[in-house]
Amino acid sequence: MNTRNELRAHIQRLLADKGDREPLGDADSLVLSGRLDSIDILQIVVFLESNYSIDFADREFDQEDFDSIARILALIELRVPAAGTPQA
Amino acid sequence: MNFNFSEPMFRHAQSDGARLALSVGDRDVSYSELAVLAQRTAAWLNRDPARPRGFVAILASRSVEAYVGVLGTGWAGDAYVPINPKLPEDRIATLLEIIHPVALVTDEGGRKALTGRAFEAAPAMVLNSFDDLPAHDPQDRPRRMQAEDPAYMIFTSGSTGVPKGVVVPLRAIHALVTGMQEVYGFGPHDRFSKAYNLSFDGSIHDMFTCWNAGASLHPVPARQLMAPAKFIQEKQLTMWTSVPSTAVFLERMKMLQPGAFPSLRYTIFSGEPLPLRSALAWQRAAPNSVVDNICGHTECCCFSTLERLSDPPRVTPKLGLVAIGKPLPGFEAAVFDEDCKPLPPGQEGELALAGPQVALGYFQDAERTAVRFPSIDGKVWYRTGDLVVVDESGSLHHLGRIDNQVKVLGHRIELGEVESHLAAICGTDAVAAVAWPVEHGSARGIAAFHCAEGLSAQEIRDKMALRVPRYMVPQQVRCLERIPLTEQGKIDRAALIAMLDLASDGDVRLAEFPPVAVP
Repeated sequence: MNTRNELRAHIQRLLADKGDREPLGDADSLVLSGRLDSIDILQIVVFLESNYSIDFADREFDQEDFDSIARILALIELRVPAAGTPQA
Repeated sequence: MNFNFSEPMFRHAQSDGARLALSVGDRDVSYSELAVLAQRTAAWLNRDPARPRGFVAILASRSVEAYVGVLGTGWAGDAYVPINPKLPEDRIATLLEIIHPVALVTDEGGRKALTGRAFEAAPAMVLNSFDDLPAHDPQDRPRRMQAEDPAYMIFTSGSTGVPKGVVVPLRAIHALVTGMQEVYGFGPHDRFSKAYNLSFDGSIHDMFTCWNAGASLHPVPARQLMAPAKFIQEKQLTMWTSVPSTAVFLERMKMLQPGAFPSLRYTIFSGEPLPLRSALAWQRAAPNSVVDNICGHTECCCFSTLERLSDPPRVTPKLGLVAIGKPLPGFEAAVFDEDCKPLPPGQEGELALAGPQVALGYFQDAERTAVRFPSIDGKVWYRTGDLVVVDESGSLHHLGRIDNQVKVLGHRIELGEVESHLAAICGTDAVAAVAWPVEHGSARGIAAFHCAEGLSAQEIRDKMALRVPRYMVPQQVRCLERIPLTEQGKIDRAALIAMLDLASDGDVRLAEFPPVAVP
């Protein structure tokens, strides 16, 4: 599975946990729309830390960077030199 | 004396007007600039000098317009009512219909929110731009006000389905600001955070304690609310006030490094129970700061009791929460039984508060006001609904609620209000709502139950989202054959919660991280 699909599957699981089974587009707002809350964001952070070794400590944290699948992908690309190749 | 809440700001504008009063994004506003804008707004409001005093709605958030709107309203002699522009259109319309404001102040977000029903409910006088204000009159002063005149009204969830407005007089702000100044000794060099939205009563302290001290106010941009570490550092804040979940989130993000916030001298956590672990992590990150847990009520002008994190800390047994401490200056606290008779220390009962910070009551609701604000031997008390106990040291401990009010992500919700909307949507009274799951004394969401076949969970959630703030929209909706009732015929919420607990597959992450509020 590529990064996009993995991320989408992860977010769809988070949404389903809250009873949200609506369609999920790459550009759909997740945080500002209220579909995801801060605990979900923590879940996504854990996912990014463990799959892409992104360390968020001492970094600027902008919750709007997590607002859509497209924005999270951009974040991964920015912070991981070889984006799209998840580590084992 | 003049109780006008804009008076202290005006005095600083006269004595040292170039000093920074407000910093929003790149925009720095000095005391004199703030006073000029407030005076011009007041002049706009008072174009008809014979107009009776009333409410001015502030449909704005985290903008210069929002704070000028507040100060201009006070200057003119009116009371302000904050309305969050992010509320659904129907909710904004309902609030405007209840308030009947004499005028409305907007910012960019407020102008966007004023559509459809909300637009129709708006008053004739709407301020859309400072360009529309009359010229500055340097002779004008904040209007002379009395202690009992209304200062503001903040809406909270109402158990009957209609939001209830808490009307707070000017003497309450005066008492709060005087008490906070006595406890902390703020000065002009202090730099205050403003994390709470205007519609959260914690913002009363942020604004008025700050401008009373001649200090500067720094609203946290919405996008940095969850993790404001960089904001605190860049702005060199000395006073931080927020919900405890900010500390929880930062800790989990490894952003609470020891010594991370050396500029902080004071920290206040308020709005939710404070987990000890987060309080200690914050103390390490802000070694020069006192860390205070303050319990507050909208009906008592924002802050009521204070517990300072000490070594060893005073913790509420079994809950892992910091105690809520002792009443702030000016307050008298008592623990009441069901008949409003004071209980001795060590016995659990309802926290009741008396003193100058107690509100005037609920807007246009004398009946509810009489119940929640009883006058006993000539003294008015506010019955908080909080279940508390006093320990041997005289400190209060918060144990929960005695009614159906819950906190979800820091927001106060009456389950009865959720149920009343559910009943309207489902076309049946066979509905119920519970806060679930609950961790560290704070709930993450609302779960709803109904007996209306043929309505999907998504349909119900969509319809709720048009009626109530998003934190009141149930995250889970379940259809049951019948709603379980207790022997007394009330909704058996314990049975519903047990049902949810059983159905959940042991979500470990919730035990690990308590919820984070995003006001």
